[in-house]
Amino acid sequence: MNRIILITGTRKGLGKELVEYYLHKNDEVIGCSRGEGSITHDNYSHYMTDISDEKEVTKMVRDIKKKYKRIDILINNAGVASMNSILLTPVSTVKKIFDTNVFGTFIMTREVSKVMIHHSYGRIVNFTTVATPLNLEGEAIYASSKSAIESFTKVSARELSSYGITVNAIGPGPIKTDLIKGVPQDKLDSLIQTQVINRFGTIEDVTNVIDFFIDEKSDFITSQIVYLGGVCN
Amino acid sequence: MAIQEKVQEIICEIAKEIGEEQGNRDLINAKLDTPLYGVQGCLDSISLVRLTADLEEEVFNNFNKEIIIADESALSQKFSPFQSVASLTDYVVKLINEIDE
Repeated sequence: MNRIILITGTRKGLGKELVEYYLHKNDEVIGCSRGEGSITHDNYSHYMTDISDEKEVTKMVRDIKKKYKRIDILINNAGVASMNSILLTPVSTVKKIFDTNVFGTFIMTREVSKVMIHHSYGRIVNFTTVATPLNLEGEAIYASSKSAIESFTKVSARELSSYGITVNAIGPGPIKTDLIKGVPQDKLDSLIQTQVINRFGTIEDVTNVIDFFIDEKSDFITSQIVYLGGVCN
Repeated sequence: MAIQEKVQEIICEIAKEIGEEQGNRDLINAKLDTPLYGVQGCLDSISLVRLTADLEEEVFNNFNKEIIIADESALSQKFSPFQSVASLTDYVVKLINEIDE
């Protein structure tokens, strides 16, 4: 039976790559983003949904349940980043980042879990960042939002464990995607030097960890945060 | 059938399903004053989540209304809408009516 995988933030970047990767593995993939989808495939459906909008998410999840009957895996990939000194950061930026990274992940998790509990099975993967354990300058708001995700991952893992749902998070370092396009090269170089393994991450590094988290056999793996490149908390 | 009666019927039906799974007679025979959650409540927190998810879905199927049963006082002993079938019915009817306003 094909797995039904829902991934957020799939119009571009890592989200789009994840869709292509799981389509290649013959999974049934559903994606969403604020804009129109950029992938056409028989096993891919796209929803134009703002994940920080409770009503839009509820509508989308209900529609998915109607069409697919279940959701096996949720990958909360959608995220926005901002690099700035806290002294120069407008409140509107803070709200925007928390809207997508924190509120969006919360709403998606709450609504999709309601579908997963009917089958007593689910795998949820959240995204954090190495900027959180490294307390990087210029990343105060982004790192704070991901810090919230780490706590949310651990608490929701406890609350959802009785329903056969696992919740874990992956924390990539710099990967060449849109998310880091505004980060100066010298900052990226110095960040990579703080890792145990000094190189950019790749999509394969990310899918390797996600594959482990979402494996059916990983039912005893929950509440874990895995950073790439050897970064430790 | 009036909204109030239909909602009550839906809640009792879901409670019955959960009751049958758990062998809980009070839930199987749920009526207006059946305590759901809190002091002497028939549901544990896991069943409460299940009831909530099913109820949202059934409200949509019956009334074509998207409601979200999430409330600040959900786990409060004093003000929780989950105290009994009656309080939950009132709460859900209120949510449905709010959509119409």
